[in-house]
Formats: sequence, C-alpha cells, structure tokens
Amino acid sequence: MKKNASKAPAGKTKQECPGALNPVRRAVAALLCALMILSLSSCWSRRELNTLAIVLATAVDEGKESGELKVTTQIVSPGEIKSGPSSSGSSASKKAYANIDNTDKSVISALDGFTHITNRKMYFSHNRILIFSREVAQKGILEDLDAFTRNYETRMNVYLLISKDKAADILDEEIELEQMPANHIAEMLEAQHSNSETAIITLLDFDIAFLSGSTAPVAPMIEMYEIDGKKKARLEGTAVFKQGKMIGELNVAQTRGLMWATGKAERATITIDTKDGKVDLLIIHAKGSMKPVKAEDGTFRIRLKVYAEGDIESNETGKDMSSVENTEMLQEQVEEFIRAEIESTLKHAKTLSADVFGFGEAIRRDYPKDWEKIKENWDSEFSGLKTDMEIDVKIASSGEMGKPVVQGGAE
Amino acid sequence: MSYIEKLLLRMKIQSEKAEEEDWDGEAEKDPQKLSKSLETNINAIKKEFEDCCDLVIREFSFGKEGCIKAALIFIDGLTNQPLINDNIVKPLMYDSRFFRSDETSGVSDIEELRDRLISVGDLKTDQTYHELSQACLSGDAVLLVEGFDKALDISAKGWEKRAVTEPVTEMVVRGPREGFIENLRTNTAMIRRKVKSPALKIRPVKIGDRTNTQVNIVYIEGIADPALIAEIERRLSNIDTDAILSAGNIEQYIEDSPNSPFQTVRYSEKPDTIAGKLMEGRAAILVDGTPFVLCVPMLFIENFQASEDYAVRTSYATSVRILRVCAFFISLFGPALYIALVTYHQELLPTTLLITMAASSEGLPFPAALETTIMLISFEILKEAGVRMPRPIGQAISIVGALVMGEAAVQAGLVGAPIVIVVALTAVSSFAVTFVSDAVSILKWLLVVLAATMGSYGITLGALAIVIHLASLRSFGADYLAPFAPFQQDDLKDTVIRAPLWAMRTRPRALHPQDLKRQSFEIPFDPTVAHKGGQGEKK
Amino acid sequence: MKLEKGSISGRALIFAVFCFMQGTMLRSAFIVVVTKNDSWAMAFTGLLGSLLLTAIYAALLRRFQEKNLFEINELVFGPVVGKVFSVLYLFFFLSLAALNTHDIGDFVVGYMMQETPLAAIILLFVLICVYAVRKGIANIVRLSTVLCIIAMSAVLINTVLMLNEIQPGFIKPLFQLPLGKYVQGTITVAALPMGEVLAFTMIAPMLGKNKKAGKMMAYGLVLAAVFLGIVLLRDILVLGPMAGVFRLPSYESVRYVKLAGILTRMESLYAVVLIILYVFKVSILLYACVLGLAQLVNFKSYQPLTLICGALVFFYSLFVYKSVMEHADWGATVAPIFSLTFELVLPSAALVAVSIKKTIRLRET
Repeated sequence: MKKNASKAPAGKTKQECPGALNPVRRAVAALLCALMILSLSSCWSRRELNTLAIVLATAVDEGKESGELKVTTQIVSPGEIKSGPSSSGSSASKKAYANIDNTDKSVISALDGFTHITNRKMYFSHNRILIFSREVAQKGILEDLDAFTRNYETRMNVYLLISKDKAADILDEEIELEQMPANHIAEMLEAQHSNSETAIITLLDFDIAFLSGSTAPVAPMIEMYEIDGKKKARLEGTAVFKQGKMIGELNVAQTRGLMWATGKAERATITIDTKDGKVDLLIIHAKGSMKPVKAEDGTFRIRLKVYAEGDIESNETGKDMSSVENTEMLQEQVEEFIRAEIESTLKHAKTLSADVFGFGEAIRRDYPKDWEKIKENWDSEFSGLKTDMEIDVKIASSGEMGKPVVQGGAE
Repeated sequence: MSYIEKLLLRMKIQSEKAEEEDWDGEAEKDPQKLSKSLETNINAIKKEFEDCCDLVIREFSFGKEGCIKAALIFIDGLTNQPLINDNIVKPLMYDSRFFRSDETSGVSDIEELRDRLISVGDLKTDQTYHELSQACLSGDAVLLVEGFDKALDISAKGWEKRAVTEPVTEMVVRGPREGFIENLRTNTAMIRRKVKSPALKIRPVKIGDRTNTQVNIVYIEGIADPALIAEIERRLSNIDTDAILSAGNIEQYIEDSPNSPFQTVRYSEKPDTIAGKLMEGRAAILVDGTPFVLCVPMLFIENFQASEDYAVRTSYATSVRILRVCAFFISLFGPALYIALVTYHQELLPTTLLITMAASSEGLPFPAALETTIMLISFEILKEAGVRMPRPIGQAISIVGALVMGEAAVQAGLVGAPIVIVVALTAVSSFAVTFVSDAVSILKWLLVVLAATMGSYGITLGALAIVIHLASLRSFGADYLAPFAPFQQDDLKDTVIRAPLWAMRTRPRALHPQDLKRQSFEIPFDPTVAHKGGQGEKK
Repeated sequence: MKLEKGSISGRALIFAVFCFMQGTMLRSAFIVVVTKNDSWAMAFTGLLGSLLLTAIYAALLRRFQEKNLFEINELVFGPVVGKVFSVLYLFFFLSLAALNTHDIGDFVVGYMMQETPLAAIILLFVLICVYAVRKGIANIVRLSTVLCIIAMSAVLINTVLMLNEIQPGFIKPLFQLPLGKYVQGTITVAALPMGEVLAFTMIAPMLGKNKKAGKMMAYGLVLAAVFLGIVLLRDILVLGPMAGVFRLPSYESVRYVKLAGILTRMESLYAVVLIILYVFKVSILLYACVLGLAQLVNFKSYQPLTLICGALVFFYSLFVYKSVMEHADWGATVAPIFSLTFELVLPSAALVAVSIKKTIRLRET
C-alpha cells in the first residue's frame, strides 16, 4: 500500500511529464486514499471476544410438537472461569457454562433462532461434540448433519454421539474433575482407546461411511445414570444406522468385536475363565484386516485377520501362568474369546442387515467389476456372507512377576 | 482552479530562485595568496577572524639581534600549548646558528626553517589565506615570517578528547571493548591497528561548506570493488550543504532509498566490527566529530549479525542468531497477530486459551485493537522518556512505567492482562535487534492498522508488501536481501546460522569483492592434520 | 525493451514456475470432482500434456532470443496481424489475472471473513500486486527460491502431520473410471494450472542470452507436478470419498490435523501460504499484461501503466463470474477449451508460421 512516491517514473523528469505531481503531494494523496480504503472497508467481520458465545457442545432432541427439534448448546461462561474448579455440591457457586436451548423446525433454523434469545453470537469453531437423541436418530439425522458439514465454522473432527434418553440431559452432567461437561465428554471419548469398547466416530468418519452405498455407519451411545444424587454420563454401546436412520444397537461386547474386525481396537482387557480361576490379560496392540476372497463359483468370502499382543495383567488362579504350556493355553483361550466376540457382532449385524464392518467397501475396492453386479442385492448377499477368521494372539510377558505370590510359595 | 494554478506557479518560482541562490562555499572565492609583508598578512588574518577572541597572534622576532620578524597564529583550545612552546618558539629563539656573528644575518628561505629548525613531525607550507585559516581552524599553528609569502603550517593539534571506552550502544560479553571516539585520526589509528597492511587505504574528503568536516573513506585495496569506492566518492562529492554534524547526516545524503524505513547504511562504534566488514569487501566512512562509523554496502542480514558471534562457539552463535531473528518477528508481528487472532480468527486459538482470554476480556471497555494501540503508544513514550531522562530520574521511570502503568491498568479494568504481556514481549524483543528496531517501530503500526481492519489477511498482505519492498532495495549496488533473494547458496553460511569459521571460505558474493577466497581449508576441518600454507608453520 | 537483461538466474525461474503453479494446486477441487480417487495420477499425465505445450514455447523462444511473446508475435506475423494476436493474448492474461484474483477473494471471504465485501479484499490484493510490479518483477522472481522453500515445507509438514489420519484403502479401486474421464482430467490439468506457464514467456527474456528458458520451465513443471501428486494423494487418503464433495479438499484435510492436542488449526499456515502464492501469481500475470499493453501502444516504459492495469484487473475480477458454483462449472467444462485456445492454438500457429517462413526463405536461397 506504500507507494514509493519519490521515485519518478523511469526516464521521465518533470519537464517531460507535465501533469506529474511532486513527491509530497503524491504521498499525501496516497495516504488519503489508503485511509479511506481502510476506513471504508473496515471491520465487517470483526468479532470482539466479549460478543461471542463459544459453543462447546450441541445436543439435538425432539421438540414438544412433532416435526420440531430442540437444539441445546453448551456455552462457556467466561466470567466464571476465573474462580477455580467448582467444589462439589455447592449450589451457590455458579457454573462455568450455560445450556441454552431453542426449538424450531430444523436444526439450522433452531440455530439461527438463537439470535432471538441471546445477546452474543453463537461461535461454533470450538464445538467438540454433537449429540443426537435416540428418537431423532431413528427418524433420520442426515439433513441435520448437512448443516454442520457445510458451515465454514464447524470442523469435521467433532465427535458424534447418540444418547439413549434426552440429549440435553447429557449436557447437565455433574462432574468434579472438569469445569465443563463438554470437555469431560470429549476427553472421555479420546480416552476410549484404552478399552476399545467404544467406536470413536467423528463427523468425517460418519460422512465417509455414509457416502459408501453399502456400509452402515455407527456412532457411540451415551446414557445418564445417577449415583449419590449426582447425574453422570456413561458411554455404552453403539448405534447402527442405515440410510441415515438408526435401526439398532450393538452392546459393549459386540462393539469390541466390531473394533477387532475393523482393526480399530488398540488396548483391551480380557478376562479368561480358566478351570483354576480368572486371569486378566491386557492387550497392548491389536491389528485387524479384512480381505475379500473370490471363490471359483464367483461368491465371496471375507478373510478376517486379527493379531493381538498382550501381557498378563492379573493372575487370580494361584497357579503359575507364566509357564509355557499355560501361556499357550491362555493364548488359545484369548483367540477363542475374540472369535466369539466377532461372531456375536456378525450375527447381530446380519440380523439387522447392516454392514457395519465395511465388507461391501472391501469388495468394491478389490473387485470393482463384480461389485457392480452384486451391489443391488447387497443386503441379501451380506446375510449370506461367509467369513474365515484367522486370529493370532501373542502373550509377550507376564508383567513384573513370574510365579504368583501364594502362601508357602517360597519353599 | 486558479488558486491551485497560482500555488503551482509560486512553487515553481521559488524553486528556481533557490537554485540561483546556492550558497557558494568559501572555496569558490578566489584563493588569495599571502603577501611578503608580515604586517599585511597579520592584518588580513585579524580582519577575517574579527570577533574571534580565541585566535592568538604571537608576534616575536628571532635571529641575530631580533632582525627577523615573525608571527605565530593559532587558536587557543585547539592547540597543544607545550608543543608550541618547546618545539616552535624555543628553537626559533634559542637556536645557536643565529648567534654566530659571521653567518648570514637572516634566513634565505622559509624552507630552511622547516628543514632545520622546527622540530615537529608534521609540517607543510601554505600559500593562500584560505589554506591558512583552514589550518588554524584544524588546530595547526601557522608561522608567518617577514619577507616570505609562504607560511609554515605546523601541526600542533591537541584538544580535549574522550578516552577510549566501551561503546555505549554495542555491548559485548566476549570480545574487544574499544569504541571509536570523536577524533578522526584516533579512529583511523584504531582501524589501522586491526589491519596492519598497506592495502588499507584511507582517502580524505572534506564535506560541508561551513563546517568543513573531515571525512575519510577507508577500504582495503584488492578486496573492495573499485566501482564501489568510485560510487562512494561520487555520492560524497554530490553533497552540497553547509553543515555536516554527524555521520547520520552523511548517511541520509548518500543512501539509496531515503524514503525506506530500513537502513541501507550500517553504522558501528567498534573497530573490530568495522575491520571485519572491511575484510569482507565493504568500505567504511569515518566522520570527524562523531564516534559512529558508516559502513557500506549493507545487507539486511547484517541487522542480525554482531561481531561477537564470530568469537563464540558455533552452536551457541547459531542459536543466538536464530533467537534474534525470532525476536525480530515477534517485535514486528506481535501486536498485529494478537489483534488479528483475538478479533477475527478465534478459531485459531486452542479452546482453553480462548476461554481464558475471553474471561480476561469480560467487562473491558475497549476493543482489542484500541487497547493494543493505547498500550503501544504508552510504551513508546516510556521508551523515549527513558532515553532522554537524566540518569537519576531514569530509574524511577522504568519502575513507574512497568509496575504502575501495566499493573494498575489491568487492575482498573482498562486493558486486559494478555495485551500487557504481548506489548512487553514486543518491546523486549525489539531491544534484541537494535539496528532494525527503527524500521520495526514504524512498520509495526502499519501491520497493526492492517490487522485491525483485515485480520490475518491484512497481516499477510502487509508482510508481503514489506518483503517486496526489501527485495527491491539496493545498497550501493548490492541486493539488500542477498543471499536470500538472488539465492546464493555459499553465502548462506553466515546468515541465520553461523557456520564454523573454517567453513566460510568465500566472501559474500553480493558485495562483488575482487578477491573471493578467504581461506582454503577442507571441510570438515581437522586441526590435528597438517595443512599446507598455514602461516604458523615454522620454516 | 527496457527489461533488465540477465537479471534472474535459471534456478530462480524454475522455482518461480513452481510457485506459480502451486497456488492453483492447492485449490484442486476441479480435478477431484472429475477423476475422484485416481486424481493423483492425473498430475503426471497432465504433466506430459503440459510438457508438449512447453516444447512449443521453448521452440519459439529459442528462435527469437531475448524477445518476449508479444514481440515474437509482431516479428512472425507482421505489425498488423501481430497486434491482433497480441490483443488476444492480452485478453487471456487479463482474464487469468481476474479469475485468479476473484478466486483468492472467494477463498478469503468464504473461509476467513464472511461479512467483508469481496471488493474490499480484492482491492487490497490488487494494490499489493501493483506495488510488486512497480518495484520490478525481477525482484519478485528472485524471491521465488525462498518462497518455494516455504511452500514446499508447508506442504510437507502438513502431509507428515496427517500421516496419522491416512487410511490407505481409500485409494482403491484403481483406474476403474471410464477412459473419457481420464482424458478430461488430463486435459484439465494440462491446460489449467500447467499451461499457464505461457505467462513465463514474458519473463523469459530476463534470463539473458543463451539460457534455455524452455528447459527451466520444464523443470519447474516437473517439480510442480510432483507436489500436485503429493497433495492430491494426501487429500484422497485422508478424506476418501468426501474429497469430491468438499469445495476445498486440501483445506478440509489440513483442518483435520490434530497432533497431541497442540498442533491443531494448521489451516492458518495453509491460508497464509495460499495468499502469498496467489500474490506471486497475479503479480506475474499483471506484469505480463502491463508489458504487453506497453508494447501494443509503443510506450517506452511500462511504469505508468501499472496502476491502470491494476484497476482494469480489479474491475474485471469483480464481474468475471457471478458465483462460486458458476466458477466450478466453468472450470470443469469450458475452462480447458478456453485456455487451450491461447496456450496451444495461438503459439502453434506462430510456430507453424515461423517454420513456413524459414522453408520459404530456404527455398529462395
């Protein structure tokens, strides 16, 4: 914007160029233009921090009348952040957040309707979780998701959750560790890697799963429970969708089976019932892959490979589980366990006729021409699909101890 | 319309008149020669130096029976009194030759005095009044003898000068602590002591019609580009003013882009810095009366180089260089980035940080841009006051400024705590790179304005405009952004990183040196292996 | 003319070509929509097509050392027809400049500052480009090495950070689309980002005598194609089928980066690099316009025309297309044909005319 006003155009002196202004005038003219441009163009998109309502979580419920949706947003109340984490139970201390809701015909009109209720503009860039209630999910959530995908403020790594009861109640969770339930739930989701019993789904994952014609998208489920008079939230189970509508659920064990099969399991704790007692194993790494195999008659079989590596976490049998035969026995039992979980998931998915694993996608990638033929009847194909499972478990160590501590064991 | 036309016409006439009235220096006047009569000369001098009470005219006579009349003219305060007494007056008065009766009764030529009697090292003959007055004003004593139309110009300079101390503007931890003083000859001597070679040439120039300031151009023949020296001389001779009071004045007359906020002429107060730059192929300009020495051409990267960097360890020097570059960026972009992030791009802040900042900006009356401006202005005032204040009060200012203004402003709810931190960090960073802090303090405002109106888009474009401007600057023929803009890989060794000394084999190409090679070690350097041509080898 | 001869080095030209292309590369939705998950291969097939174009330009430049495109036109076709051709080229460069300006304006308005009117953003942008041309385009081209390093590092850093989110299965199935789509993809890539190297025929004279401008342009194109391949591959692997849905797949995939909870929001880096690259590109296009206009009307110096051309580009860019959808549609269907007319048809006509003239002259002697 700064013009080098003192340099006359190359090769021209004042005599050749009669209309040229002298440098001071040019500088003044340039400055005036700059000031006008900047002041006229100024600050349309300016948002001061104290005019923003920072939304951390959004929940969508059914409204009182049919066809209406109630959108609840959890907004940070910055003034209360200064006081440290609220001590338990004191209702006199103000919360660091506020839940505001609005009811309207669709999600986007409800969001716009917030401007009638609050003095601040809703700011969605820090929205971390998106919760839909079960009723809304059963009616179909695709139209609602479109608004969130298209908007430039929202991000694709927002977590998707389905609540078993009312979604707005989840946002009222009372926890001592965090100041805001939204942060608590989002971080809880991120910590689910350690049990691999929850599918962690972002908006991007959901959309990708939906874009493929055959896969059934899934989303984790969350419910509220009460303990000592306090309401807390718990992640349990997975919701299965088909064509944007929720059609069924997977329980915890079935969810883990899904995780094993799709290779998303990371850490897990498995309890084996041996004839002498219980042994707990901690799986540290798990890998899974699925590969479609075409048989000679043109039908497909899916070969699932799961590899898991773990340690013995606790040994309640009193016997020495670190001996080689016992380790082998444990490995076999773990393999059986995993196989049973995956089969349970398969059976349930076939009942629901929902391809949660992504077998269709796998066939489409490797055998696109055959996929064209069978994709119309994928539902019936899926029910009859056979799988071969290869499960390989390795128990790497038995923790810090070899033999267990039993009475008289030192003698 | 007619008013504007009249205005234009008036300005045209004024500029034409100014050209006619150009002040003629005294050098334009006809140089008038001295006359043989002592009386005439003395009267002429008295008339010229009328009302100058510090001019001393000591008339005396020497020789057999005082037959030779002479006068000694000097300016009190500029001369070394003992030297005049012992080396000029005494030999003349007491020389035995004049008492031998059978010798000639006079002196045949003034040169004889010069050759035989005056026991002073530096001696010249003058022939015109102009030279005579210039000699007196430079601190010389002039000897006029009856019957000769030449005068002896005897160097007797001796005035109060500052002792050589540590330079105030450039502090070093490890390295020589000498700094230049206001005396030109002492300064050139200090450079001579660093480069003991006859190739170190010193060319004199006199600038300023009334101040007649001595200026010396120093360069090393065989390394510096002759075109550069010719260009410097040409620009210095183009200066047509009557007062040169400091090196900064000369800088503004000779620099390539007077309108640019960036310096294209480096100044320094330390002889080892200047000697190092001379060895790279630059030229130094020393001005009498100021301890700051100019050095051309200057590259942008020199803002981040200090002479101390070459004396410390490579890894440390590199980390300090990188730190300086980071400080430069912080001081330039700090406030602007803060405004842009807080006002336009809240999605770029991590959530927890955003919540904290939202918390601290609850209830504040001013928008972020305005509070930044207020804090920056207060800090600039504080800085200027701290420099100009007399020393006892200066301490109080810093305490008052930092604690009271910052703390109290936050407590009173006028500004938020983050902005105080940002401004403090900006200010401290600007002190880490002092050479470019002048430019930074102006450009900072441009970026603040752009950020307040256009967010980070404005900052990006503003930064681009600055980079484009830098890329188009030239400093006496060298590209300002070398070695980045015309990318010269070999010269990158001394920019953001400081390669080990044995790796810097060539001089910077941007300066067009004549002798490109500095040294010829193999990389990597192993001191335990013998190298051919090492100077420490015992023959 | 009054170009600074020998003022840029060959290496600067290579990197300048790379930076010129890189801006359009980062907005690569127009390829992904057509060829979906095989788009990364289009980068290389498009490179082959554009090398053909570069060969034509190199041949022209070699025959007329140190002359730029407009001068070549006049020498080959004579003053009258040459000026007609020059006007056509001028229109092309102006259109390109206007399209790119509106493009970056859309980006800023759409993703950064929604309420600001487009005109304000474009005005500031054009002013910076005018400033760059006034200060001498050679300076800007010399900055290209550093700019190239910055752009490459940005792409590589983003790619490395996204390795966590990559799902390798997305790249399959390979090459299943009908051949027509691949042809369309190749032509689009060859014409749209890569063919615009025509603008460098205006800058090539700055290289000085006996430097092979064509070779430098080819190297730059190869480099650009490699990075385009990397960017496309990365987007496809992260976004999968969503890559064809988003308007700016690169931007969305960069937004997805989340490393250790700290390195989030990397799209700011992406946006800054994009704006810088677009300034570079539009400056070079503006310089081509200004120089061409100066030669058309036989001005001795192009300096007074910079502001005028800048104003022209500003107003043209405001109405060059009505909406983003129209631009996307134009980019997919008409744009390759429009570009190829100027990039392929006109220069080959010039080359053919030169060869004909030479054979006629050979036959005469």
